[in-house]
Amino acid sequence: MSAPLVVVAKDSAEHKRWQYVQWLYLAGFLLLTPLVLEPFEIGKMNRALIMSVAILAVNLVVGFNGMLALGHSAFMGIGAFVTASMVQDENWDYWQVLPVVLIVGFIMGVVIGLPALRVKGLYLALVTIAQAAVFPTLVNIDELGIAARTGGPNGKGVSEEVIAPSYLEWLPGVDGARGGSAYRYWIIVLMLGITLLVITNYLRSRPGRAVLAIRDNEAGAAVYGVNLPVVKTMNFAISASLGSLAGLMWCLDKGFVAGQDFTFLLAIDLIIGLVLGGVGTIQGSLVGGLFVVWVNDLTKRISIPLGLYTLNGDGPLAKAIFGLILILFTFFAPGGIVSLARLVSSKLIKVVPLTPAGEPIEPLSNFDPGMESTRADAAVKLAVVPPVLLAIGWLLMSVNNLIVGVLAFGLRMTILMAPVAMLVGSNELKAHAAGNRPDSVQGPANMARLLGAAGTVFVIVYAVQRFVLNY
Amino acid sequence: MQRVALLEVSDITVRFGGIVALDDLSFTMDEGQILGLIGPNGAGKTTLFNVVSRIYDPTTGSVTFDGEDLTAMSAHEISRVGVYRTFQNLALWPGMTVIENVMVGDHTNTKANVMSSALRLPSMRKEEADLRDRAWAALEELNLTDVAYSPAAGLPFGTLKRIELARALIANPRLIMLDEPASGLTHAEVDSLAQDIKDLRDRHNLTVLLVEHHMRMVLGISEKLVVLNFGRKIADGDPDVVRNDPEVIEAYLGSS
Amino acid sequence: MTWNFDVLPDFIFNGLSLGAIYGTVALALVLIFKATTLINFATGELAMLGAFLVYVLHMEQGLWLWLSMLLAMLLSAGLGVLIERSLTRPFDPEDHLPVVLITLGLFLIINAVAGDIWNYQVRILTNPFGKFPDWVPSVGGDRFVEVLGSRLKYQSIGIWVTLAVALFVLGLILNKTRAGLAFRAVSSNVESARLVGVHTGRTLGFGWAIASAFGTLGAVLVAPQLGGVNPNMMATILIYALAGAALGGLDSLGGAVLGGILVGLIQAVLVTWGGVVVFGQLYMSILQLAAAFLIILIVLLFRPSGLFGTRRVERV
Ligand SMILES: Nc1ncnc2c1ncn2[C@@H]1O[C@H](COP(=O)(O)OP(=O)(O)O)[C@@H](O)[C@H]1O
Ligand SMILES: [Mg+2]
Repeated sequence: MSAPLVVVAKDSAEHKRWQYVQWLYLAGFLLLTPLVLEPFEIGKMNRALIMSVAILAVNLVVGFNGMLALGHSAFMGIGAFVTASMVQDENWDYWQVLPVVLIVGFIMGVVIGLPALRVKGLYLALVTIAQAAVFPTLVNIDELGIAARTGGPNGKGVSEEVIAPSYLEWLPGVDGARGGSAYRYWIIVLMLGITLLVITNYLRSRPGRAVLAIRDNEAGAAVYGVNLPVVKTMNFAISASLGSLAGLMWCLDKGFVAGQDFTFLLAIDLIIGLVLGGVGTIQGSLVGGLFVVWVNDLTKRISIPLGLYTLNGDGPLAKAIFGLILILFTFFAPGGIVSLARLVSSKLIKVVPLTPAGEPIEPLSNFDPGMESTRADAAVKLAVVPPVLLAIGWLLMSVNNLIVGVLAFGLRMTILMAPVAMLVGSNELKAHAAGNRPDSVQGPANMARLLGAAGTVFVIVYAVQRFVLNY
Repeated sequence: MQRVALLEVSDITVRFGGIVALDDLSFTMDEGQILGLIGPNGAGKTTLFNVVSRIYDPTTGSVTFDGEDLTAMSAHEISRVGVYRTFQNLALWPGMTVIENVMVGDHTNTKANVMSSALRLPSMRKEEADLRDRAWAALEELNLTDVAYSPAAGLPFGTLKRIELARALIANPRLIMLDEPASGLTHAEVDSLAQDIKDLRDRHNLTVLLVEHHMRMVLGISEKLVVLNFGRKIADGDPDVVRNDPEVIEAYLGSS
Repeated sequence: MTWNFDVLPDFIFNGLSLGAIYGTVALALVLIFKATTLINFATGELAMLGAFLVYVLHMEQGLWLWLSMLLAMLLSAGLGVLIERSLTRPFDPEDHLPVVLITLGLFLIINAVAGDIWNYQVRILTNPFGKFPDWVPSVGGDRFVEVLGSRLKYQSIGIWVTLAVALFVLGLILNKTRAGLAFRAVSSNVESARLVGVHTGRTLGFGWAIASAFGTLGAVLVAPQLGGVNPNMMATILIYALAGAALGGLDSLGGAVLGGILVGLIQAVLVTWGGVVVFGQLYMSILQLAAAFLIILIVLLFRPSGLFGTRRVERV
């Protein structure tokens, strides 16, 4: 393996700048989505982000704790129906339903998880697959007022009283034709963001490490004081709670819930997203959500022209492709898309951790003299690679018309990378002027700056056209 | 010397179907002692470890540690009284980095819970920083800082064995049980490991139950020897006496 | 509504015959679990494919029904061997996730391919036990005999006899053939089996073969109860079979059959007979699924190793 282009110490100024650039990409992507995409595309994006939350929930159990959970469709369904019922029948606000949904999901997780997780083996898979099968039928029961609450076989519509209040109309995209879906987009992004933060914190600390230890070696974990059934059940309940949250978001987004939306097939979709994105990584769950929604959408589109059998426009093709993906990824890319992305980024940058005394644990600068000059190139690459990856994802999201898709792809890529490339280029030039960069950085750095300037002009023109001229 | 035994193994029998892995085994260990437990492969040494750490249930018998009945506890409670072990075939967590492995080693004595961790409360952050420093110190003690941030998967067997030792040390154990710590080491490494074990015992006030096939090492550092054969204890006592016991010689010659 | 004991035997007979079918599919699950500690989630879809093979051979090509069944079972067995050899053997059997993912992938692919070839419509498949032979004194269009004042369907008797014969043959294979003995050795202890020279890979392939054949048998037997064959026919049957296998003990072959039969009985007597009285006709299918789910939960709560399974001690 070739050495990474850039080696930085953890928490050094360079490392921070690199992270800052990444945050900028992410923020740019999120901010521009509701501006650039058409309303129905925003809807798709919303669905993808909701799937990401649900996949993250599955990941907690399957990827981080090594237990097989095949029934998260039911937890999503519970969250969705509780939300629909409280919002529609009791006139609650979505924010008021939120804690209820989290708690109900948690309790369901304990009820299902505790019996199955006391014992080692595939028992959780057994219970959860049965749970997934039984849930869509349970909502049809007339007794106990269940069907009245759930809408029975007809499903339940929820009033879309979630248009933005006037004090939030400044949010990008939240007015005009795309207002409703864009506002829901912002709520979903906010919930997803908080979820990611909380779950990342959880996994990177004592309780999270115990969960990972169980996955990697149960006997070892027990000897070091991890109470296996308690930790497993707790983790499963958190996961169920998160699954219910995804259900709430689903209800919010679709405005309609029905039992047949939450079948075993949805649970399998979650597993597929998990494998596609990357089992046991948080980023993998995000990527997985995007891809599952996209593949589902694409196959629906091409089934009819290919003359394949379809049932309500939803043919078996998606399932066949998913099945193939599962098998191929298990064989050839068990780490999913994220592991491939990590392979790329490990060639670009290496972050060296620090000792408690604040020293890097290995020397940073054993470069050849010539190596210095490659840093500017590396900076440009760093500026280009992530937006290319993001932009490909974006392209895939909007493949309704390939030519428009490719055009939009180019524009969006420019919008994204422009400010970043300019920033990196400027930094390199400043360093050059200060005398700690060789001459050879000048070319690439100027290039990055030029690209950045062009992109920035474009962004301004675009913004003026969109907001001022209201085109 | 009027010392009360720290670990007392009484009448432990373990059966797996027809196999009697341990047959009415009893012995005691004093505080601060290094006790060598030897015997041919399949004699039941690892099974005893598994009984003490409550991974196996003994068919009969009991184990007491400092007056507490270990057989009445479950596996995750054993670490609370300060009993730790390493594993013959390793039980590390390959999906985590080496330093994280060591940090989990002190799971029992740390407190951060799901809430305080998810919200990164100040108490949790302080504990985490302190834990990381102590894990680093444990790695330093065993010369492992070079690999601190490498994934535990894929390191050489000898290094992994030392990581297991570091993981047990961070928790300030009272009794540490080492299952064949020298397997896979070179001769020079074995000698330095023997010295390390003695030093660690003195520095950390450990009591060490050592299972090892490497006779020179066992005889070099053990203060008491217990010999098993087919699950039965065939000798027990001072190493110099035990090593000349005809039955012990017979067991070893007969087995290889 | 009063408890109608007159019809109870009808329900019991029904439960016993449905249960026998669940037992057959549960056996397919356990045959693979016992050897690998894996749950093959594609069991149901493989069985469905087998049933469609019978459909093609018998209904479309006009072969004799029993010959078609035998051929379909052999073909399924071959497919099982193929799957084991190409898709599961490359993976470490201790690591469950990859192989389970593969079986889930197979589940999707087989279902989708069948859906594309045959659509998702129910297609009638001849009932192997539609009518009694002429010499049996029967009533109701040759479909019943009177037992205990109730009607015992020819179909039920046929299912029991078929299952009994199949179990007898399975017993012969496991106890009298080399492959069978090897299979038993591998499922009781892989390590020692390998040490005495058993080729474990080939033996697992053998397990997949018998399991697939049994699955196909179960699917063909259940088809008449569902009105025919269709790509989704095994969806709920698989859940019932899983409940049966859990109840009997995931590593007990006899337990699987008995567990399946018990699940059938519970459904027929508690849910259908008892439940109709309490809840009315409408909820039968809902409650049958719910019962399977509850059975699994209760087994895990009180007896995780099932009625006849063994508890294993992990080696460390
Ligand atoms: N979980 C188990 N199931 C069945 N037999 C076991 C188990 N654990 C150990 N044994 C048997 O117990 C005996 C003692 O094994 P062990 O304690 O590992 O020996 P040692 O560590 O002294 O080499 C061996 O015969 C072994 O096969
Ligand atoms: Mg041993």
